[in-house]
Amino acid sequence: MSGDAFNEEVDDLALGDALRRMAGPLPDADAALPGLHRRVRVARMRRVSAVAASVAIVAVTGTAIGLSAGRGSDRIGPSDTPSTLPTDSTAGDGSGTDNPDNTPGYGTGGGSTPGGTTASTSPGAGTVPSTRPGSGSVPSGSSTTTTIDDDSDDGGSDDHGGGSDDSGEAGEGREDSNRTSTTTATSVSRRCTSAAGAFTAVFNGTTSATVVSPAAGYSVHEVEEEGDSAKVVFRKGESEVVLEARWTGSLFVCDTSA
Amino acid sequence: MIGEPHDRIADTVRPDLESLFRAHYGRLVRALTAVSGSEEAAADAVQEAFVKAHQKWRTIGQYDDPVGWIRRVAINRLRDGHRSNTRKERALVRLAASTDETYEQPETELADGATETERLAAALSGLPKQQRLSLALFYLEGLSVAETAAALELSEGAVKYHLHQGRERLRGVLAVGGDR
Repeated sequence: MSGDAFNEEVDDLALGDALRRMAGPLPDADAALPGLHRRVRVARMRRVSAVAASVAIVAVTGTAIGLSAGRGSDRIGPSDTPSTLPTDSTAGDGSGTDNPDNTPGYGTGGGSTPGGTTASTSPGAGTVPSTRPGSGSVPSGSSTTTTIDDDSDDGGSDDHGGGSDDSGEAGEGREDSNRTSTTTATSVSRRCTSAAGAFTAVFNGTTSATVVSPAAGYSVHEVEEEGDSAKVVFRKGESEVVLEARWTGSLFVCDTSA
Repeated sequence: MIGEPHDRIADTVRPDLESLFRAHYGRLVRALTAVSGSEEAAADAVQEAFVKAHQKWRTIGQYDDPVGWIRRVAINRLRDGHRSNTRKERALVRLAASTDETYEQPETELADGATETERLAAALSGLPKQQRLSLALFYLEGLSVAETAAALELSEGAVKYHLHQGRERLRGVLAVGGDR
């Protein structure tokens, strides 16, 4: 059949009339209009809800990311409340890690004894052989220089129930952060470290020594707490090393003497 | 405050879209009712198409023929609904087969005393979809061949072919009715 035949048939009035009769009267648009308004309103509400939900998801995600970031920083500086106090002006900015817990007796896991198998790599390591890389050693010719260490040199794990000493190996890179005190409203604490051992000095009215950790081969010979000073004597054979923390009124100063 | 919701309703739809709705809703629904066999489904499809137009009116309002866009959306929605219903019917058939129950297909045969309208409706529902749509848009909505082709996204030749085929089938129904 040709296209013309199609065109001739298009105007089939009888069929058109029959179809229109079959279809009935036109639906009333005015009657349907309120339904359209309702649908538009519902669609608008859905869209607003969807936008609100998206905003909420973004907000929750942002909060979660923020919290995660906060936790991440907690790992670096675990305690939010303490503020850091530089021990001396030459010791760097004091930023970085602090004792994660300032209350006396923190680190209930007890500092683990360093392995003692690694020789010190610190330049100028002197009379007392270091067994803890990164935790420092007594410089040659000096019996008064003290390295103040943070608890990460005890593996950073004292407050987690004891762990490895591995993190102490990174101590050299964090030497500045070692020279800090940690302060809370009620107490100040500081980790004092020497080649013979370490302890945490806490001042909360009186000075005390906690978490005493002798180095490999050393033992704790004596702990003396008196006034503003806490003193620990480490002994290895005939050799004795005295590590002392003195409270100056605002911060601790750690001294060692062989 | 009782009248407030009504006032809000009155402000919901854009005036220009509302005038289009008043002008075209009836014929659109009637044409699609003939295609789908359900005025409810046709009205739903047309109203949803207008809702979509309202949501995108900034774009749709710029078109030369916004009603053409609305018509296409309504047709597509009706097709989607038809596909969904077909799937449901097939699922029912499968379910009946699996439970050894007899699933009765919708009755399409007409009684001897059926009117011309009933026979025509039955014959229309038996036509292929494109033929039904072409006939409905051309005869019931009053579109030209070109407009019908645009609505169905077909060529004009294809629309003429579908119109021709559909007319042949329906004329047969009318002729039979006239002989009685």
